[in-house]
Amino acid sequence: MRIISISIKDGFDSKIYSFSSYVNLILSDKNTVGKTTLLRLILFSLGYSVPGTKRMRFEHVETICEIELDDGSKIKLTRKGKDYIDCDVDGKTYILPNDMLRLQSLIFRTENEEILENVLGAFYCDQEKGWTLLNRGNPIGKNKFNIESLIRGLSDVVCDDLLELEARYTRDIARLESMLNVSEYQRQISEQAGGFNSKSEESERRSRIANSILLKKTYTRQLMQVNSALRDNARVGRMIAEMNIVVQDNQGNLIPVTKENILGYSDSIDYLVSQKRHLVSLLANIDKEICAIEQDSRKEEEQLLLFEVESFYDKYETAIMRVPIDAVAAKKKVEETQKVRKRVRDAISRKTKSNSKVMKSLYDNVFRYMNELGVKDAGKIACGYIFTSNLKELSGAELHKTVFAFRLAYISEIQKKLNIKLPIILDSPRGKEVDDANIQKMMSILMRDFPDNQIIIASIYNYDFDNPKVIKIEERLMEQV
Amino acid sequence: MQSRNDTAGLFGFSFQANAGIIIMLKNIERLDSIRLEGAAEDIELKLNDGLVICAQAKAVEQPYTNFKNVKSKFYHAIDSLSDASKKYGKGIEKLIYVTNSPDPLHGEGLKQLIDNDTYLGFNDLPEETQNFILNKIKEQEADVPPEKLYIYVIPFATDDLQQRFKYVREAVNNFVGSLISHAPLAFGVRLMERWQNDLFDSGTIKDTSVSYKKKEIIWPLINLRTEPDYSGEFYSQFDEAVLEEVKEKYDEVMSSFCNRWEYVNKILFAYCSFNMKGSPRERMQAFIEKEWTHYTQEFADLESNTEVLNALTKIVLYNVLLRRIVIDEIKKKIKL
Repeated sequence: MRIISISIKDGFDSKIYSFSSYVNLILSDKNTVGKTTLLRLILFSLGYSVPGTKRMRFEHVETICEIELDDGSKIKLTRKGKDYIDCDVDGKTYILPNDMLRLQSLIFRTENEEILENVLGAFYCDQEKGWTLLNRGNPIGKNKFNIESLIRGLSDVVCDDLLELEARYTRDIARLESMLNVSEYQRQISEQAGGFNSKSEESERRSRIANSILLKKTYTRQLMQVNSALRDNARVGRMIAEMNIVVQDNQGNLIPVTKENILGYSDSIDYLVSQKRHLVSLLANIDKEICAIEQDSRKEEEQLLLFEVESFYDKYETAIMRVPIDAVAAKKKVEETQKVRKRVRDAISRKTKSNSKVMKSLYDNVFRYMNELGVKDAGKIACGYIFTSNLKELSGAELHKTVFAFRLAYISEIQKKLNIKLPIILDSPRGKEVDDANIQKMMSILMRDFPDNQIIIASIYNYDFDNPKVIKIEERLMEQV
Repeated sequence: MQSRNDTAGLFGFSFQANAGIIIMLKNIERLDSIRLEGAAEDIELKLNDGLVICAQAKAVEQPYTNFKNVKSKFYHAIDSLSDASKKYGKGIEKLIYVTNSPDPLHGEGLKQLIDNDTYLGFNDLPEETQNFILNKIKEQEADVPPEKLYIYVIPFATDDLQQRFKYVREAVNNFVGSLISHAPLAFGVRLMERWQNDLFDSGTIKDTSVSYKKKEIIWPLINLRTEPDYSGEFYSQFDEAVLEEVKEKYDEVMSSFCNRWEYVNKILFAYCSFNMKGSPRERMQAFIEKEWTHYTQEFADLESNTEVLNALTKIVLYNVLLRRIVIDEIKKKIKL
């Protein structure tokens, strides 16, 4: 896939930038003239959610991006504002971000969601976060990259259910942790109040009510299920009775089939009736308890009316103290949920790593590029290194080169899988601590291993490529030459 | 704050319910129904041959130190049991005075026979005590046939509920143990709480013809025993994460499936036609191993992951069949 051109309209200003199919250098003599803005506008025009820059907010920008796919076909994408994008090929309007994956599947010719979700992190390296993003994180804005997810996509491993489960547990943990934060705030308020505990008693009461209501919901749901099963079983019983079936035993006796002599039928009713009795009794007890607590609460409220609440903060803290939180139960629940989530994560990890072919190939390329770029200790890395989360030991130029090696390895694997060429967009590849020799090595690898890819580099330095297309920005992105 | 009288009343009612459970368990095989606050007595048990056992419960709040009113409590019990005897006539099998006092006839020669829980018929009592009781019956002109009179002392004291319910808990645990081998201790506690609750409720219904039937007493145990607990030997064949997924996603589906007779019947029919000798549990294991693939279709629309689908199918079969086996075993043992 290649970017042919991008047309940008910002208020009364408009400008078209065209790109070569091979190397493009977006250069300027100084910083903050709009190189990064142009790269981000390219992504924006492809439908990605990207933040604007200091000089340009993207909310009101209109872009038209023309791209050429690997089969030679062309697509024109028109984006007006951040919420939708028009595509000329199918004449559809894609609502963003909901339709983002559908739009991307058109561009990258795959419906594999885990590849589509991670492709940006492979082909784009942002000047801010890009050169520290190794295998997990945000390539830009809220777009995510995750190596496990990419590998699953590349290996066609599907574990949507487990991922959904994992996401649910993560949401639950976040909710519980928010509750704990409020609980901690309550504790501080209580501490500052110097042990006056009417608020904590109220909090305790509310917490008990909240627990009771939760329980009540659970039991009510169970009761509804039991009632529904009882109704269904009764219906079947009636049906059988109405059929007037008669069977004959070995002695020739005729036996009418009734609900009473069908194996297990009356047991199934008795079983449910017993469950129902229990649930009804539990619900009655809960109602009694809630009633009693509320009565206590009313009595105390009447007492408290004697004191006037004075300030906004007092009112706020009173309200906070009334939030019913059982901190001990919440903590326990967090621990339990974390344990279960770990088991789910382990299962996801096992599934992710079940296809060793993709992992091996990815590792081989990472290993090769790291060695070639002279990353310290590169010769010692094992296959599991591609999942490393230890970035602390890498710093400066070492990290920069390692990131580059990983990105190229991702691109290689995605290209192999999808049989396409990805553009490679690099913002300021010459990091602060990367010397000329290393930059030269990086660019040589690009030219050698990715000769057919479109490369777009933004920088204040020039690079030694054969016949690059140079886009020079003098003072500002939208300047009229 | 509750008044002193309320607390004493609740303590008495709590003793009545727990004594009811213990007497009920003593007579479980012949039991038809039980009720607290019956037509004539605190505790009334109807037996399946039509006979009735009546018990008058008297609790003392500090039973090991307070013997001040124990005798007057007994006199009152004689009057009450007499009324019950008059009401049921020859239908009475036993008239029981049940109390938590370790010396229920303070100073009348009974104390040395009381050791923790003690159940004594009139004929087992020392002559001195027998004479004392006979005199009282005569004095009060009570209609209490002595041969039907029993004294039952049940330890029940302290504000610590763990301790207070210790004896009734043990009785329930023994009962559970006699029906279910290797039953978790929690079963006993949960069953006790459920019975306490249900008996309390039965005592609050004004219509004295409403009682707590044997069936209603036993089914909660079956409910408890057949709740899917996802632990034990059967479940060890599944990957932990898979089991977790089944539990999280399909707990409700599973109970819905196990509760619907038309589905259950399909499985039971196949199970009955399954030829294999061995214990019910061995047959169940073999049936699941051999036949489970025929049932995956039931859940195929719900689950696309084969491993989860297979586990779900096997677990449903296991729970349906286990429920059947447990129902049969318990009903047979308890003569339900």
